[in-house]
Amino acid sequence: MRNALNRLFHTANTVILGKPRQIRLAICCLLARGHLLIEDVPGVGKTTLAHTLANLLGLKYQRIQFTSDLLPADIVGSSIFDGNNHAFHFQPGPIFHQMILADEINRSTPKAQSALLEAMEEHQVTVEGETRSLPEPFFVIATQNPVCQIGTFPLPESQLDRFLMRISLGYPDSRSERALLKGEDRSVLLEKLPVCLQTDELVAIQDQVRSIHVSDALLDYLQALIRFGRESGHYECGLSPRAGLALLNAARAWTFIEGREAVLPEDVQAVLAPVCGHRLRPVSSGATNADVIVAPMLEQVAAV
Amino acid sequence: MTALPLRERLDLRRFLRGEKAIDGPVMLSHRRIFILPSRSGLALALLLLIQWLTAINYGNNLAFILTFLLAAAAMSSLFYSYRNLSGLSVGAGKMSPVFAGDLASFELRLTNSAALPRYGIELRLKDAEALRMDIPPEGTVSAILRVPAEKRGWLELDTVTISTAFPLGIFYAWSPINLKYKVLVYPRPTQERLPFPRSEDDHVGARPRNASDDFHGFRAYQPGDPFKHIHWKSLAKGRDPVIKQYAGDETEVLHLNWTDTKGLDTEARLSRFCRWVLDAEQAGMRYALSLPGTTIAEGHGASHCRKCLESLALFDL
Amino acid sequence: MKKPAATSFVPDRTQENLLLFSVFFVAAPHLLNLGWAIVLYFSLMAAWRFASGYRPALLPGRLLLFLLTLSGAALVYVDYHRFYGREAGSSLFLVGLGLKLMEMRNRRDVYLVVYLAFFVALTQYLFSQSIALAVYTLAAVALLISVLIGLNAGPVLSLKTQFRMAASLVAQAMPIMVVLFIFFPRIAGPLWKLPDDPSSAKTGLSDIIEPGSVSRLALSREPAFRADFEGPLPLPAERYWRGPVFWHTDGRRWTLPPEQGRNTVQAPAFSGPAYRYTITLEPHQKRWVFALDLPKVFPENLAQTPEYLLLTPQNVGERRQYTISSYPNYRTGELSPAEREQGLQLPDRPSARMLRLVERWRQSSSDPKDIVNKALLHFREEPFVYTLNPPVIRDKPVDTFLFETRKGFCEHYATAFVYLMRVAGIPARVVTGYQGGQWNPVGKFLEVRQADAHAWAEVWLSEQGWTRVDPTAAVAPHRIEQGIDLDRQMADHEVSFSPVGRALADAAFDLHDWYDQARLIWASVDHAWNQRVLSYNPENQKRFWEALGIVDWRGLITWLTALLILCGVLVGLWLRPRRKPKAADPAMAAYNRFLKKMAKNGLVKQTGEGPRDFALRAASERPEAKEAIGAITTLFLRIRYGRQADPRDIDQLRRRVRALRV
Repeated sequence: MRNALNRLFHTANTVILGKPRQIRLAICCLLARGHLLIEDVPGVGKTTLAHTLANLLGLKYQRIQFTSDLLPADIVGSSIFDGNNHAFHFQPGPIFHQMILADEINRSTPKAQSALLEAMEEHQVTVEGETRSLPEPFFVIATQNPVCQIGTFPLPESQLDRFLMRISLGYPDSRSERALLKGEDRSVLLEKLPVCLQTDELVAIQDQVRSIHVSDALLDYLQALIRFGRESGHYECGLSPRAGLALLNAARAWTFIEGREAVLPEDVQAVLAPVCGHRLRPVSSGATNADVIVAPMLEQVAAV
Repeated sequence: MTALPLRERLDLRRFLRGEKAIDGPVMLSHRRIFILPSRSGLALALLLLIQWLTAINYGNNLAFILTFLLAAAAMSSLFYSYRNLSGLSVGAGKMSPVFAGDLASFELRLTNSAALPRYGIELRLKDAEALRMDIPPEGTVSAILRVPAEKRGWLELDTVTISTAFPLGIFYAWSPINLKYKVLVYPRPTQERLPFPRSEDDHVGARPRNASDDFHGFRAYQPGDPFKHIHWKSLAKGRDPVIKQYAGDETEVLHLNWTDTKGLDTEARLSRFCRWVLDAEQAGMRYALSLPGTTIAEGHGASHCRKCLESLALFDL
Repeated sequence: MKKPAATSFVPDRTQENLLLFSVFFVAAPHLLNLGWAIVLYFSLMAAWRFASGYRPALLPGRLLLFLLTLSGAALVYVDYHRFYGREAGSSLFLVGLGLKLMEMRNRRDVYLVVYLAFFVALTQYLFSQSIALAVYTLAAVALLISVLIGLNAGPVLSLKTQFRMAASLVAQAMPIMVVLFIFFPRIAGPLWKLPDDPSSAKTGLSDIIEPGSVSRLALSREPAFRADFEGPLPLPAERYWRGPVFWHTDGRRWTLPPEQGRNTVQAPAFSGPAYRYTITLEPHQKRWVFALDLPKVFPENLAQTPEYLLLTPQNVGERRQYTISSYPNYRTGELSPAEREQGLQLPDRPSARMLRLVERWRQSSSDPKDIVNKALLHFREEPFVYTLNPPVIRDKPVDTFLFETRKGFCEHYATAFVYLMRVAGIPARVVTGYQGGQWNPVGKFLEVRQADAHAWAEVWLSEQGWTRVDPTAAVAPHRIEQGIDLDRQMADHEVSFSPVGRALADAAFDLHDWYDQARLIWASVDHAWNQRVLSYNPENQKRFWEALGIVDWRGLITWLTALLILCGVLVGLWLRPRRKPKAADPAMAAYNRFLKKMAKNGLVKQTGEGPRDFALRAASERPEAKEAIGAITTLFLRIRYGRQADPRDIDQLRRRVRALRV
């Protein structure tokens, strides 16, 4: 299983070049059963990353392109009149897949956004009074253009909280970019990707992640971080209890990836920026870079 | 704590005004804490003098003992007073912006890292009423000092005096504290609701496409709203007029331009913009703001609104 | 300076009740000192205040308050006819305290009440300075301090914490108080003329003798003085402590001669061993200092009368100490004609039977010594009874006592004896003072109580001069040998009146033993209290300073400041903020030691740096210690964050940290 995981990383790194940390975080997010938000300018490989992960994990993958005229029904599906049977029958929407790529989620109206986010939280959708469960495992990778771009509906803070992590890919360094330019076409490459981790293996790993040991000392550190977020005056509003749980789960997954049995402060620190960057709003500067936002937390809270 | 140059150390103003403002939390130490007898302390001194004279007069040793015991207890209480403040750290809390004319809140966080509780700590801003609090061992208490925000722009926290009369009230220990702590004061929004300005290319007639969109909700009527969106049913029931809103309305963009408020002085103009921004935000409209030197692209939401208000607050400052 | 705003502060119910209780507690002992009306007035005010705490409408208005003030003042005046002096002044303060309670509205008033209460506590010392009262007021002061603490801390403070804090404040104040008590310069009082405070409470010898003047003291357990002997003790029969000497009588009453125109003192010829001792004299509002017969060496500030009585310049109003040397063997000189005349003075013609009695003695021998012995023999052989309760004699007391009642106390015997001697033509006089004293084995001193008051006679014999003759010894020799044992008398009384059973009597006897023991210990504690604490005065202080080498004010200031600073440092150490112990966790402690070692080498772990990151950084900077750093960090992480710590890990961690060399 460990080998499968390593192969997963290795293969993903051959497709997405020069972004090992982001890949690691993305997989960490999936192992912690969280949803991922990728925020970046178009064209840096957000979609490719999502597609790669789906292929490597052998998950049923569906991409939903969010546009301003996207309606909730376009996501969850609707009942269609069947002329042969003279009855309505439910036509499932694209949400009924194991991995959803919600592309450019902030291009659509809040109504469409909330339809997706509801499904993310509940792992089920209610259409026309009937509740339908979504397949397991269920992942959403949403991509988002930076808020400053014209014609976007930024996700409200309450919705942002639903994503376990928010990462951004950024431009590749020159060496990776060159390799990218020289290499095979990505879409062809994607077709050829082997399945590295079977679904049942993935679920088993997710269960193992949950049983990673967390000591009292670590909880002390975690609480100190949360308290700092609430009390230091650096942030307008502190971390919610849900954020604390998210941080803990993400840290566990990270620990598992690192191959250790107990969570260390370093594991929490590793996932702090992606987990908390989008949940904290700094008071003084308008910084949006997650690493900058959590820097005072990392520096000032004693980690022992 | 950095050393203080002798000259600054001896400066008497330090007693009342404190030291230069610093950013982080201020730790109260012997350098910052001053102690003098209070009025009750002077009265006690008088009592001790009378007791002493009586003791001499009657040659009464127990009277001497009582007098000296009280004097000694008073001396010991000096240590208690000092200890009550020493080691406290005072830091700035949240900065929540306010509108001019409201009370700005400065949140001070008093952290007690020691294992002993601190009693009767008072925080005072100039001549305002003191805030009294107790801080549990290894605990933090936040105190909110309210200051009227008169002008837009940055409002800085003045010297805060943290003091205690504990335990006996005969010594007054205090420490003036200057923190770099400011809150943003937005311009005061005009009180009356004004119709949104209309730019030349934005006609009422240009809206029919919205008619087919999904119904979204109601909002208060503003002069200038199209009559056909008024919810007549509720008006007929004698309620205030409300406007039916359609989802598509959100794509409509309100452009707020500096030139929309010609003929007013700067502050009045800013007040008016402030009102419009708030109304537009409340109405769920998308809006853009352009002031001389600053332009904020259209948008909606709390952070967009904040951005607009910030630029109004800091305009021309 | 900035002052705390005069906030209108009304203490909560508990605090107000605590204040009322404390104030009442402070004032309570005055019940023994002041008129009951005054104490009642105060209690009424306190009760009123207490009640109005629950019903604010009960608080008096301005007019009523004014009337209350007037009536309080009137009460004091009616009781004492003045507003100054010990009783009246104390009463005035107590009344003021009660009135202030009624109009206590804000913080300042509370302070005024507490300060007044402190002063009321002080006025009690003008009446008594016993250990019990000192302990009592100590508690009262702690209570009042707890009131102030409650006032300043607010409602979060529990009563328990409040009391504990007050107690520790008082405890911390103790050493400073002792330093101040010893070193704070004393000024000899009084600063202003003391109002003539009646010494009613003081018992002691009086300046006249009449039947009952000594025996009224016989039941008093109050100490008269204590004597610390530097050498051996005098025998019980030698313990005659000389007091006032009486020459003149009107037949019933003996009075002291006027002070002026006294003869100069004839120095007696002393011989034999001397006793050197220090007298701690209780205040008795007279000038007499009691010394063993006869004092030779005494402090310069004492004067000696021709009757060898020592006198202080002023009345003894406070406890005093004198060091005196006395010689039991002495011989006084010739008698002057005036003295002879005084020594033979008789108020009227003696009765016929008295003359007959004396004539019989004179016929058998003309030697005055023989006559004296004959008289003593008469007292011994005739059925004279020594009793505390002699029958009252209205007429011709000496004659009636000698021939009819024959029951009397020492003053009866002494006066009758002197009377008879004068009839016989032998100059004689009555001496009062104390006889005996009880040895306190705990405190190693002789305690003389008022019950030891005694009267005896002195006759002038040509060979020896004035010679002491104690007719009481002839009647009741045990009185001289054993002294008056009040406790024994009472115990006997108990036994004789409890016929219930022997067991009970035995138990009573045991109890009596215990009681005796306890009483002795208490007496020595009391003596030490008197000697060390209450007798400390400007003179003692000066002597003490000299012993320490303090000669001028500079030395004094040095000592005073040094000791006060020492006390301050001690209190400061006691109070220094105790931080939470950094690492109760042993692994943490070991790891902190590791960090300290690393820091010495310039490798400081940043606040937010995790242990693993730090280890990686440290190892890259100190490759030679890589293995040790890695091992220590691994062990530490396993103990602190791991699932189950191996108990051996902690030992190993400690070892590795100890062995670490960077």
